[in-house]
Amino acid sequence: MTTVTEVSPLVATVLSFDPAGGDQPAICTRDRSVSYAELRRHVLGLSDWLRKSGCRPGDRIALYLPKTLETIEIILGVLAAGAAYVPINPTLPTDNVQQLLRDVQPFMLITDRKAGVRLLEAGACAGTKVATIGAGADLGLELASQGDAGNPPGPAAGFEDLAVILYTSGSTGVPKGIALSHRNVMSFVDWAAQTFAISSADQITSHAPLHFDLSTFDIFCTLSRHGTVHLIDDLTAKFAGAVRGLIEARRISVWYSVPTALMQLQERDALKGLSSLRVILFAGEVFPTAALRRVMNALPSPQYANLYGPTETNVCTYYRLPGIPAADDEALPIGVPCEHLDVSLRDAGGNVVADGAQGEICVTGPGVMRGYWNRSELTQATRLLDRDDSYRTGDYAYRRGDGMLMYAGRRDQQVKVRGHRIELLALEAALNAHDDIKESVAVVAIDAQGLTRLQAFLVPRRTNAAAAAPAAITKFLAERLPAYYQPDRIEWLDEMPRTSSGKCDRATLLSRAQENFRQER
Amino acid sequence: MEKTKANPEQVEKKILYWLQEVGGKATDKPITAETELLDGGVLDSVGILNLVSFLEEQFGFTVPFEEFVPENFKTTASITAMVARLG
Repeated sequence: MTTVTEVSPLVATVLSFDPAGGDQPAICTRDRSVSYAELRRHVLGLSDWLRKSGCRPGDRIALYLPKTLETIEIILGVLAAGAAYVPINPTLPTDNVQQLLRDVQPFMLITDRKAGVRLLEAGACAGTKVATIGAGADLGLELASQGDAGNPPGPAAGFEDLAVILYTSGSTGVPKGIALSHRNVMSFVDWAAQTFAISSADQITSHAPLHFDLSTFDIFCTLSRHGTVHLIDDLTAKFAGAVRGLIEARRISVWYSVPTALMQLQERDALKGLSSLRVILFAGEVFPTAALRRVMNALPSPQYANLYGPTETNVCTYYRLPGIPAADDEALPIGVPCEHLDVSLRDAGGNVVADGAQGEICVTGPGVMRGYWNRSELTQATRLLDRDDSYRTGDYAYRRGDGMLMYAGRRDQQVKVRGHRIELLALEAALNAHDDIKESVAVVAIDAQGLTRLQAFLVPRRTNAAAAAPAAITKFLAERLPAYYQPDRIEWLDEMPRTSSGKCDRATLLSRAQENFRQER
Repeated sequence: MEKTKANPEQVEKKILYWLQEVGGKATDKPITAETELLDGGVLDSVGILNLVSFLEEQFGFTVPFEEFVPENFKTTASITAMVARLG
């Protein structure tokens, strides 16, 4: 049987606890929980089962699973076995899953029965072992792993070994895997735990999906400090009343999410009087100041912090709000560099810009990814010269007089909508694949609340022909792209506006979209 | 003066129309009053918010957070019952 000292760095602290604290719940869902003592047993059992199945350090285990208690246990079991976990967005269509599996070449795919059958029937798992888990409370995998103490444990992973690959969609729609080592994740976890004084007394929600980097805080920061993580399932997350109910009943002390989730609570007046919350962290997109002020006015007592950073570095700068911003048009800083990283603003030549000037945010330190999986050239293109632990973010910022970094936009066509990274070109490419569509342009506009929204403009292939209903387009897209690529609004045009040079006039479309969203209630 | 309560049949019809023709996700089977809206995938998170905006506009109330829970959005019937409570 694997012992705690043989497991990998990220899991060792989770499984080493004061025996008196073994009864404390580690992970809770709406109706179930697992204690630290049980968690240790399950994780070591899973680790043994994986090793017996032939899993070796350095192997990848892909997880196509909803965020459940068992999924978190499997993540820890995979890490304990010295392997790396690859969380696949559970809403990803079969084609994308297949593409991703081809890229990651996992030793094994773990999924539930229904999805497993679907993937196998589609031939999406060629060459990959598939393990499925049951729908009940008991973990089929864990049962299979009981007994046999004579198995010699393989060497555990070290700090520099791969821990997780987080996938985002790349510029051609081909998935791009961000490979993070144990050190990468741990340096962030240690920074966050120290900065926000996370302890075993903390009750922390897990709001973000597991393929989002925000989830590394929820899981590893909470469990390494022996607090309790409360998983917010998909259904609960959709309903402000249910989320509030959970915060109240579980006495949640720390919340971390995209701004939208907090805004939705505030809009239903579901934040007032939530006295247990001491820290509220947000990241993933810009929090419109007007909306943040409404949130803070509804619930002024917690400490609020704006966390900034791409998945490649996890959080690299942070801003603790000293109080409620004075005005709606006050820009929210991204703050100061995290203590474990070096953050500089540089010009195209890689030189640090003069104080106050705008430059590309460049990050160096132990939090910076090992690289993009199987994309060494792309990885090299994002490095500063001679620094393998550096990342040029493609985001721009300037330093204000008081030392605060201020975000100034992105370099390329990648945009973020509701916290998800979206490539407009990939959306247009998918739309253009529809039979009824001759041409498409996707734009992001800011609505009356300051939120980023997505609109698609379409030109029909046949004039006078009845164009497909928005629902049909939505269905078409759902088969090709992740759910977050769905436009908030679809509009048919007779033809695209053109500039004098004959190019599509995106500026006109953008202001038209802007107008549409601003007129919304 | 007492507010006139909306007729439950009318309410249900309006909700069904919205789900079938406006904001519900297309599914294999036609949407009826008993269709599971949340498990069945008819209503996603954006759909729920749009439906609530529609109800608030149609019936002139605000859905408080106490009512903004999954149980009230399981089927057209449960939504109709909620509208009757709030209307």
